[in-house]
Amino acid sequence: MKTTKLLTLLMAVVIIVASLSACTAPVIDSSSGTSTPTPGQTAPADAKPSDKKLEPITFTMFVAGPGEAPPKDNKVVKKLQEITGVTIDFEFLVGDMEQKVGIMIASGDYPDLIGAGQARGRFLNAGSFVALDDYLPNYPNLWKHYEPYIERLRDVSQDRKVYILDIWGRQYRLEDGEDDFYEGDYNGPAFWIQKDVLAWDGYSHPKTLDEFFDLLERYYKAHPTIDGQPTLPFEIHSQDWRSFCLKNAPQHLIGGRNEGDVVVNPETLEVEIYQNKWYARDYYKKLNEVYKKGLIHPETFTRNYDNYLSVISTGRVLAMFDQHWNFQDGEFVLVSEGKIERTYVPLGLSYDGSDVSYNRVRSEGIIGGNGMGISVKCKDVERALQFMDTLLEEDVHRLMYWGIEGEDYYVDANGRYRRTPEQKANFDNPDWRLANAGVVIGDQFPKLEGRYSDGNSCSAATQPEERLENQFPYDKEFYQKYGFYSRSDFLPLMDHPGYPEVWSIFSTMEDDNIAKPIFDEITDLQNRYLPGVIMADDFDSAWEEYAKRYENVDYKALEEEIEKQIRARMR
Amino acid sequence: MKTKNSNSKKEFINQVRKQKGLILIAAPFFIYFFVFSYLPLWGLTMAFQNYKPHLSFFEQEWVGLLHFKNLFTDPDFYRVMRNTLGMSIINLVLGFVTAIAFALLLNELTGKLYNFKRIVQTISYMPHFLSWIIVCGLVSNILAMDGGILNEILLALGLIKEKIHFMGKPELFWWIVGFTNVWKSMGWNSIIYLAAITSIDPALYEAAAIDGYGRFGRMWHVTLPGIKSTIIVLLILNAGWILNAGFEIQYILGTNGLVLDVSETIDIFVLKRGFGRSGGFAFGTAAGMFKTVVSAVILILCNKIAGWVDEERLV
Repeated sequence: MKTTKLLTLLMAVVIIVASLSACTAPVIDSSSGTSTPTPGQTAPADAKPSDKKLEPITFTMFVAGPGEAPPKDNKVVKKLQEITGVTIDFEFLVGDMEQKVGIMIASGDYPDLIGAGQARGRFLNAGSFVALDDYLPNYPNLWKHYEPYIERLRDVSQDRKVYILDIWGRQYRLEDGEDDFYEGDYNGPAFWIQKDVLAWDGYSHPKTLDEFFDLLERYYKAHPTIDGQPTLPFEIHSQDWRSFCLKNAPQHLIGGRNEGDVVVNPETLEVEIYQNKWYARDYYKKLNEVYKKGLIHPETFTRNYDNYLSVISTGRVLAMFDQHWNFQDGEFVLVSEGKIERTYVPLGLSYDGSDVSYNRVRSEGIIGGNGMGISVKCKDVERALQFMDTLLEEDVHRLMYWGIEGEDYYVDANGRYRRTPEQKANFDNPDWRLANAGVVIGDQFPKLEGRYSDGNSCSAATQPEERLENQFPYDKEFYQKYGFYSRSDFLPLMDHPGYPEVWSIFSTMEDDNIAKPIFDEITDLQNRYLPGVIMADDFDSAWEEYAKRYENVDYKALEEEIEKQIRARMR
Repeated sequence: MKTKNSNSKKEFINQVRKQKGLILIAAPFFIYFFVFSYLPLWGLTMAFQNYKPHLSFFEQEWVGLLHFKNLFTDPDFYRVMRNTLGMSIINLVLGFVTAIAFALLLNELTGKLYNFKRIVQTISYMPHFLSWIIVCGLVSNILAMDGGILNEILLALGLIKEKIHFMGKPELFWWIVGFTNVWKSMGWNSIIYLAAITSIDPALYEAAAIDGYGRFGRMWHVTLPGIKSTIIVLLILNAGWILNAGFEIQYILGTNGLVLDVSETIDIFVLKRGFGRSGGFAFGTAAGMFKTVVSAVILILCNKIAGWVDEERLV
């Protein structure tokens, strides 16, 4: 009896020890070979990143924005795998961002890489990212990419370390006066209007809100249906965080840039909440007026984002206030169906009829905080950085943004990259692009913009002669009537005011910043009441009730806090 | 004293030894409930902290009942409670009445109509298996202004002159939720009543027929009393869920500013505050905890009430 007991005990001990050692064994192995330094630890200088063998590795990546992962047999994705050994397993945001991110933070269950998007502040405050200051100098391409802007990257975090690598804004070789040609089309906020509406009106160019709605009204009367379905003259998307379509127009109507929920006086840097000011009131009053005329369909406020895109893709939405990237998935459908006259151009409306540039601002390079980071759960930080470093090689970059030479583009006698109409048509088709191009990967990582060392554009979409020659005949004629080159020319180009856009400051504030709960409160208030104000029978009393509720919020504190933050970032 | 103690100890050990088979069988369940039901209760401590996810438990700042104070002074909280109770009561009443009425009516289909009864029953409980996202898609399509079938029918019949914006009218939202629930779950809920009806002694029906009762008389005096205990048991069970007015349907159909005031339930409130706002975990936990406590109290109360009315108690 006693001996058997002893024996059992012994066996148990042996099993436990054996299983423990089995667990620890690989750890010992890895520390001798490919060590993963903990955040803050200096990477050994002698371990040159390129020495690393390219064993296949898969990184998981969450992107806090909409998108679709490329299929496994995408030829460029395969090529990148051969070159780097890296597979990226994407998870794009579906549904509400705040909740998805909140749950991720609460559980601490991070993927290897995170495309921070609008959720940058929450990830930063939760300590989700590895500090990259000590790593970056070891990667020549990344270092060259970020060194000039390294302070901007640091500005974003409270402890002034680099956590987020911007994926947009680093431009190369744009100093010969032809800059505009190499910049992409304007993608930001504006009153977007169908080309056909302007063409029908003799290629007019409305400058004020009144002219704009007057044109919509006349066009609507002449075209009550489009392709057999009722015309929707003006759409206002108002759900969740995309309610900027509802709220952000007033700041531009008085000449401002897109700061988000405040207006900044560029001289004094004074900050003002504007959803209760005269210029907001006038805007909503106008909307109320045209709502009563039937130019705004009541269902616009109950449409969710998918419904919104789907009505745009039917070509019966004449105009909306929005940012182009937010509705471009709907517009892509119009392009692929050849309904070019139903696609949109931006109008920079203002109250006084002056030319306002909205967000068409000369690029100031990397702004900081607008990108992706490596999570604290990343299985191999060095390898991930190595991968990103490789993506910045021109040859590799070309694969993603031009494709494979001979298949997706060709090089002409002058050394310029060109595409046949067929190659261009392929690239314009979102389904083809997802299945055959590397843009989906490139868009989520640091990338080159501007020009390659051989003078060609870093992206097929911005090669000037491509843009001119392959423009749809409709577009070419349309822009010629205005003496324009592309849709961007509808807005004048403005110099950078020298401080980052306020929404970007805001999204990196600390969680317990006093401005946060106030901001949540006014956002809630606006989303809840503004649709009702626009639809009200009696605008004045509806506005008064809304404004009264606004006075219950301590928005002065918010304004002061933001002003403080802007001053801290001015250099 | 000492001997007695050691005696009882010995007795205990003996008993354990005797019942070790039983203990082994029970162990997995004990562990399961401990790990998945009791261990997570630890997270409720969040409600009393200024919780920050990147700090460890010992670094958290304790704030006492602050979050509860904030909760009870938050005007939004009373609004979501009103919405929750309103929709819950509509769901409860509509759900009970329709399911019972449906079961009674189905039960009358006998003889030659038996096959018809089976078909109706199957069709009626099918929607139960649809996910809310599909149901909500159907509802918003049916009620749409832009080609929605209900508006088209009402227009064609001349009952309305202008299309109605169903999804944008706050006064209609609760009823849309209520009737959607009925559509989705009436058939399914009636199954349990139909089962209860089958256990009623057929002799009672014969006796009632001899006494001169017609169909409605038999329904009223035989069938309904026969399933009374089932109804009460289900009512008690459902009353405990009174703060669960639903989540998906309000979340999917009610996120626009026009009906937000009447659509947010306490579940959505917890989700929005807890995960939607930065630093809201603690407040969300407090609100969720409040909901749980109230639900438990209501359940116990209902059980007591059931005891008073001399019915079988549940707990």
